Amino acid sequence: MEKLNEISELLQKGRAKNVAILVQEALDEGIDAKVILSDALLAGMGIVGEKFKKEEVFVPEVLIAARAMNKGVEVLKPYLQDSDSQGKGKAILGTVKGDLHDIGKNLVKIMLEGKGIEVIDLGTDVSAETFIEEAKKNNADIICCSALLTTTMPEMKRVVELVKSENLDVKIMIGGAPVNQDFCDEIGADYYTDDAASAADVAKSILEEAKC
Amino acid sequence: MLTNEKKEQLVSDYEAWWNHELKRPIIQVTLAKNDQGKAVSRGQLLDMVYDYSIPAQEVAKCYRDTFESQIYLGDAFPHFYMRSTGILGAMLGQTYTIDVERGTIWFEEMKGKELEDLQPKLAEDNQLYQRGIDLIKAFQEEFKDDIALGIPNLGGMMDIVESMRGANNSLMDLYDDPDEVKRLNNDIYTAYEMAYKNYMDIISQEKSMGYTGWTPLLSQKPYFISQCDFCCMIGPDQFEEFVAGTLDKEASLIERSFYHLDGPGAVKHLDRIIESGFGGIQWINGAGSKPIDDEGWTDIYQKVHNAGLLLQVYCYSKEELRFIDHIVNLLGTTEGLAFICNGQEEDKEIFESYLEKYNVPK
Ligand code: B12
Repeated sequence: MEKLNEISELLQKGRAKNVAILVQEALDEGIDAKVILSDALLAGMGIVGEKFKKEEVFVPEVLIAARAMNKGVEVLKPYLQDSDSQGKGKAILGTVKGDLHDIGKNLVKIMLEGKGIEVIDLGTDVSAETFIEEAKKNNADIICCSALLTTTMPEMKRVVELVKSENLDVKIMIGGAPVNQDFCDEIGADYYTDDAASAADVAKSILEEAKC
Repeated sequence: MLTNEKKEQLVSDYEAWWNHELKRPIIQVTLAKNDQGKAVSRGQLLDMVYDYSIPAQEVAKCYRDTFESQIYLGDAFPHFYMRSTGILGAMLGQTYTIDVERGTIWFEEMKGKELEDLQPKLAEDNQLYQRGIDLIKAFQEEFKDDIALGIPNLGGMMDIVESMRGANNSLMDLYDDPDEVKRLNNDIYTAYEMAYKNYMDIISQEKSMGYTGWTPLLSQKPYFISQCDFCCMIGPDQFEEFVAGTLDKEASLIERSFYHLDGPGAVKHLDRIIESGFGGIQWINGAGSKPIDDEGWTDIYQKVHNAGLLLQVYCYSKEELRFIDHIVNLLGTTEGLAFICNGQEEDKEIFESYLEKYNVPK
């Protein structure tokens, strides 16, 4: 649909104000809120994610696109209430203790939300205990840990150990520049990806597997 | 400390290296002695450097124990510069905290200020800036030509913008207020140029072993290393718009200029960085990513070499000495290369065997 494409295009350019206006127009024209969300906002964000993976766009473009998406979602929120309850799954996300880097983590959040996954963002400097507590409290499906410092990576191992010792039914996904597949294998985490868009793809497939 | 003969050899070999006339690689080996004597930790040194209640002369005296706790082999030499990356931001008003345990310092975001509120100017009487001067003078007096001296690690312009604004804000600013970002970047550059010239001038006034920088190459002419870690987050267009122009200016300001290329995310800008006119490139592969001798980095070494630039990498342990063989074999030359190696006293023989292999005087 013309209008939805237009919203998606504007979102990709980060034009937050225009996105909000057009989302309202689309609603006024009687287009279903869920359709606007999936075919305009999430679709646009999906394209940004793909382009980011291919290095066609970079961090600033993703951040402004996400800001535009949030503006659009704000307009849609009152119309989406009932569909919210049957979300596609829950993820706990945070940067590990001692580490304040959050740009990568925020991108992971944006991409996960772009796949319709509910994200509980614990921010930065999050201890292994807090990850576990929040996962239990929220009945989360996935714990996503980000680390950018070699000195803070060991905290991820503690998350894995605590999940095991408490026998929690939750998958652990890790990432951040110094993290790699070898480290993931070594500490026994479930998944590693090297960019945010792939993180969202993996999370989605984990949740789909869990559903069947 | 080094003998006069050794110092002369270092000075003349490094000069030949900078002029692309040295027929061997530069290989520095700095080993930590088993007995660390009275040397204090990196974090404690950092703390002293920033503690105005401790006279600069006392800091210099304390460094003697540090220099004596190391063995300098091959092209290595004792040196001093004021840490840490981006200190210029603090001279321009950023607050900071020192983490003594980790030996690092954090420069804090200037919260609550809009982009246009940030109008940094370097004041001659700024305490931290003055401390930098006092330290250089104190080290000159204490060590004469036994050590080389570097200017404080001022940092990269956009890295300081990012640090002042906070990373997320600074990235959005590129879209929301590009002109103000350029204005701020330019103000920081003005301060940088002033600090650079004044510090270099002070180093030049007394005889030392030579100039060095936060990457310890030795030079008889002013030498410094430019950087922009921020660039790993932006694409080529924004690199051109916000970064490249300043790098061009830095490369022409600094007589012997080097660029610190940090991590896979920075590689996409290498061609433009080379165009800026730097004399050399330092390549850091980044924690967690493939080692220096991975095939994936071949392109970087070849580009730098083919452009006629000097190339420097680190070997952080005896296991990493293989990087020297890798790069020498790959480029088919021992010239124009520098390897800065660190290790422990007990591995001395292994390091010495590499010095011998590449004809580096011990
Ligand atoms: C921006 C930055 C900062 C900013 C952070 C601002 C912020 N709000 O995040 C500031 C200036 C505050 C900062 C501070 C420090 N930093 Co810093 N910083 C960086 C820099 C330049 C970029 C990091 C970044 O955001 N990259 C862009 C994002 C998008 O990439 P990313 O985080 O890797 O995320 C991607 C993937 O990894 C993945 N991903 C990320 N998280 C997750 C999670 C999951 C679950 C998954 C699946 C995937 C995933 O998806 C993302 C997008 O595709 C890097 C340099 C570099 N080359 O990486 C240094 C760097 C990470 N910092 C470093 C250091 C040392 C520090 C300081 C200690 C410096 C100091 N002395 O002050 C402090 C530490 C503060 C602290 N306690 O955390 C070092 C780390 C060295 C090491 N090996 O440990 C680096 C590598 C710089 C260097 N070369 O020395 N830093």
